Parts: sequence; structure tokens; C-alpha cells
Amino acid sequence: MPYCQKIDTSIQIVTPENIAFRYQLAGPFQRLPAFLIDFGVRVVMLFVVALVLMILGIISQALSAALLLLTYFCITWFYGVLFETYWSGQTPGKRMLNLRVVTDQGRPINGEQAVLRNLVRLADISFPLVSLIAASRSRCCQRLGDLVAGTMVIREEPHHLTKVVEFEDLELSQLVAALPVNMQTTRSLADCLRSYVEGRGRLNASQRLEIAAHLAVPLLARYDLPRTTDHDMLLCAMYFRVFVRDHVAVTASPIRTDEHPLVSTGAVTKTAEVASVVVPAKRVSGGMDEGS
Amino acid sequence: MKAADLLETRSQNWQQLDRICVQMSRSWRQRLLAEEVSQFASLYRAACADLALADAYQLPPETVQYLHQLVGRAHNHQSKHFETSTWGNKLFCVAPRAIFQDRSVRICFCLFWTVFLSSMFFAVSPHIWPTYCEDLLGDETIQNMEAMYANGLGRNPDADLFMAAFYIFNNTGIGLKCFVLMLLIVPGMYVTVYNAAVLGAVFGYMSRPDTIGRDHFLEFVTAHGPFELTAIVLAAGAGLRLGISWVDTGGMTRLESLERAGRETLPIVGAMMVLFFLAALIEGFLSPSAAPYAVKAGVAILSTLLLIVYFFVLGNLGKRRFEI
Repeated sequence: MPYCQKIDTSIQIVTPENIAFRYQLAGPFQRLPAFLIDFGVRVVMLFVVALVLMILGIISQALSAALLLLTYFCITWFYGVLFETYWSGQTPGKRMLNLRVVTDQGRPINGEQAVLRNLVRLADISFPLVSLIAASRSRCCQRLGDLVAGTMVIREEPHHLTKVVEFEDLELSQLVAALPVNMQTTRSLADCLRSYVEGRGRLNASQRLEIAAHLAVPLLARYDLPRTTDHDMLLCAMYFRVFVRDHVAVTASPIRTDEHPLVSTGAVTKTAEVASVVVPAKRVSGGMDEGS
Repeated sequence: MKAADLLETRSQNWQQLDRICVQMSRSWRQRLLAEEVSQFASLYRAACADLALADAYQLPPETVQYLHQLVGRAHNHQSKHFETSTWGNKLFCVAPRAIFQDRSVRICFCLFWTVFLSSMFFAVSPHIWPTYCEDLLGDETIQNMEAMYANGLGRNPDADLFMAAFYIFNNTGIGLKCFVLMLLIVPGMYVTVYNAAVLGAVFGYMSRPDTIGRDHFLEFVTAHGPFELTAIVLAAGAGLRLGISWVDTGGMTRLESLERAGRETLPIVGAMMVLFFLAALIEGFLSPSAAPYAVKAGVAILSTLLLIVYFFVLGNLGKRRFEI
């Protein structure tokens, strides 16, 4: 079943490996704070340079004043250029807020692009309305400088790996066994089961029953299970079958790595995958036990 | 294969790829070992394949997000720096050729000098618009100007260094501003015309026969004039090229045209900054010095000749070689 494209601030990039992955775009309200932080950093940098030059000023006042002016010039125009070039698309403010500048092809930016987008920032600041209109009309939320340089700003929010939900209920194992062997789930049903099970920790018993009933009643009828079966448990059992294992017994044993030597090495070959899909997990483990 | 197995087996690979990416971004000076690079490549491909099949594997959404982020980070890990080795080529081959063939530079040249000369004309002649200078510049500026040039040249040498820095800061800033605002054409035109008019009025007013400090002023501006005025024209021309690119796209989309113009005008901006820098050095050290007028005039003639060679000889030479 094809999924609808979500209306979201993400952009899809196709890599040379022919894989499409998504970047989260950064909007004006993520980028403005980063700019303000950078502005603060610039002021502090200038202040530090001024302090150092004041000490130098004892030797030659004109020299220190000249150097201060040159520093001011460089910081005004080339602060972003240097940081974005050498920190691969990040300035201190962007790094703090997990933003990064990449090209509109998702590649790291080069020096020329950094120069262009930072010079044109003046036009964005002078005409913020034009800049906002440009950002809202463009595909990648680009301000004028990004449009000229062919770059975009993305969000790199840290995501973490999640595990599948674990169950410690013994009643579940009977229910899992009671489900038909050839149970087929569509992708949308699997999605539905997953979002229910991942969210059920936040619900109390009556809420669980109320929500689970919508799905569980027709499923009980389809699988010819007794009407008295707990609705919540049924959905958990189905989740278990779809995402974790066909039989509870295998997960119950604490040392799974011994039973699945092929899987645990990390170098999973196609044959190993096929084997674990075709042959029920228990029989594989049984075979291994007999062999040893 | 169930999602739980997959997560367990692949998460090690993903985490290792993550570690290598972090290592790469942290220590940009420290090279990775060959082993790690090849490992990175295979891990990256594996992560790509996992992401492609994430839907079929029914991985949890948070994990899919993690994979998107991981592949994205691995995709843009490589950082490019300034290719300084090409700067010479850009400055002496690409830039003059681009300038020589650029219509926008010609338009801006005509615009700047027309406004400059007509402003100068209004300022010199006391009959057509008697209060022109006062209206445009303001009384205070005129008095300051007269006071500045009244006492003759040859100031404290300590001030030279500071003034050179100030000219770099101020004039290059104006040039860059001119370039950037030209992207939106109207504000850039305003900045260009305003600067041309003010400069013209100053030149006109100061060259009136009855102005105090007339000779000193003319002596002061001689040496750095060619570089500085040319640099302003270049800034405006490069900017106008950007501005026109999204109006007259030449068959490309507006975005492509703008990006291309951005790439192509960058060498011109580089040339402009070099010119402003040279002008500032001359303006800071030679122009206010007590050196004889012949030296200053000589520098002016030499810099004009250099500009002619740069634009016409290098620009044309490059063009011919390009055609062959």
C-alpha cells in the first residue's frame, strides 16, 4: 500500500547508491536564534581582540587601531565564511542548535558557496520581508543567500535507536501459540499494532480496553478465538508475532546468541535471513542443540 | 526476518558508522586510516540498504528517523576547503574575461560615470542649480571637507596606517554592499547612483576655482582614483549580473540561473576586493604624503595602464584562447 507523502519540512535526497533519505529543513525560527548566538560570539570575539590590542596599543596606538578595524572588517564579512568552510557547514550558533548548511544536493558546501551565502546575508537582513517570502516560496526554505549559493540549512536532531517492546507476561505465550500459523498482517495493520503497543504504557486498563476493542473484536472473529480473550493481550500477542518472534519459547531463553550463531556474528548473509524466515526459529535452535 | 532480530544485528553496524562519522567531524586534521575508510564505505552502503528496506522490515519509526539521519550524516561527511591553488587562475584568467564580456559591467560603467560626471557638472557650474552641493551633501559635510584639505598634505605618518585600514574597512564594505544589494536591483541601483552622485558632487565642488583647498584635494585624489572608482563599477556590475540573472534567465529556471550567476560573479568580486585593497594602500600611504605631484600622477598613470592591460589584454587574450 503506498504511503501518502507527509506534509512536512523535510526534503528527500537521492544518493549515488540510489537510496532516498530525508533531511529535516530548518525554518526561520530555528535559524534566527542561531544567528543571534553567532552575533553574540562575534561581539565577544571582537571584544577579546580589542582587549589584546589594547595591550599592544602601548607600543603603537595607530597599529593597534588599524588592526582592530581590520579585525572588525574580517569578522563582519568573513566570520560565517570561515566557520562554514572549515567546520563543514556549521558556525558556533549552528553547532549549538544542531543546524548545518549543505548544498541543495545534500553534499557538504565548499568555500565559494560559503562566501556567497554569507555576503548575500546583508540583502536578507536589509529586506527581511523579501527574504521571508523567498524562503516560503522556495523548495528548501532558502533565504536569498542560500538561493544564490545553492545551499540549504538542515536540522540534525539526534535520534536514538529504539528496541522493540518486550513483554514478560506468561499469558501472552498461550495467546501467541493460539494465533493461526499463517497469520498475515497488512502493513497498515502492523503500523497500527505498533503504535498501539508502543503507546499503551501511558494508558490505564480501561482506556486500553476501550481503544483495543475497535481492532480486537473483528480480529477475534476472523481468527476464531474465544470472545472472552483479553483485547489488549490479543493486540500485544499479534505485535509479538509480527515484530519479535513466532514463538514465545525462544525469547524466554536468556542466551539467544548461542542459538543464533549466524545472526549474532553481525555478518548476516542472505542465506541466514532466508533460513530464519523459512524455518521456524525453534526448530533451528533445536537442531543446534542436537548437534552440540 | 523480524524487526527485533534486525535491530539487534544491525544496530552494531549503525553505531559503528555513527562513531566513524563523529570521529571524522571532530578531528578534521587527523586523517583516517585506510582500514577505517574502507570500513566506512561498506558500513555506509549497508546502512543505505537497510534504510531502503526499512519499510519492508517494518522497523520502528524512531529507528527509521535514526537511519535517515545516519545516512545523511555519512552522505555529507566529506568537508571541502578553499581551493587556494585556483585563486590565481580565477583572478588573472577567469575574472578579466568575465569582466570584459559582461554586459552588466558595461551598463554599470556607463551608469556610474554618467551620474558622476553630471553630478560633477551640476556642482561646478554655479548657475544651473546654485544650491546643488548644499542640497546633496549638507553644509556640515562641505565645511568638514574644506577644513580637511585647507592645510595641505603630509600628515602624521602614524595616522597613515590607521587610515589605510579605515579605507579597506569602509570602501570595501561599500563595494560589497553595492554588490549584494544589486541582487534586488533597485536598492543596489540606489546605492550605486547615490555614491556616484556624492562622489561627483564632491569632485565638482572641490574643483570650483574659489574653493579653499582645491589644489590639495586634486592632488590627494589623483593617485588612488583609478583603482577605487573602477572597483566600485566592478562591484555594481557583478551585482547587476546577479540581479539580472533571475529576471532574464536565458532559458534556465530562475534558481539555476541565479546559482550560475553567483558562481560566475565570484571571481569579479575577488578582483574588486583586490582593487579596493590596493586603492586603500595608495590612499592611506601615498595620497596624503608630501611626495611630489609627479610621483602621484605617475602612480595614477601606472595603475590606469595596469587596469587597461588587465581588462583588455588579459580579457581579450583569454577570450581568443577560449575560442580556439
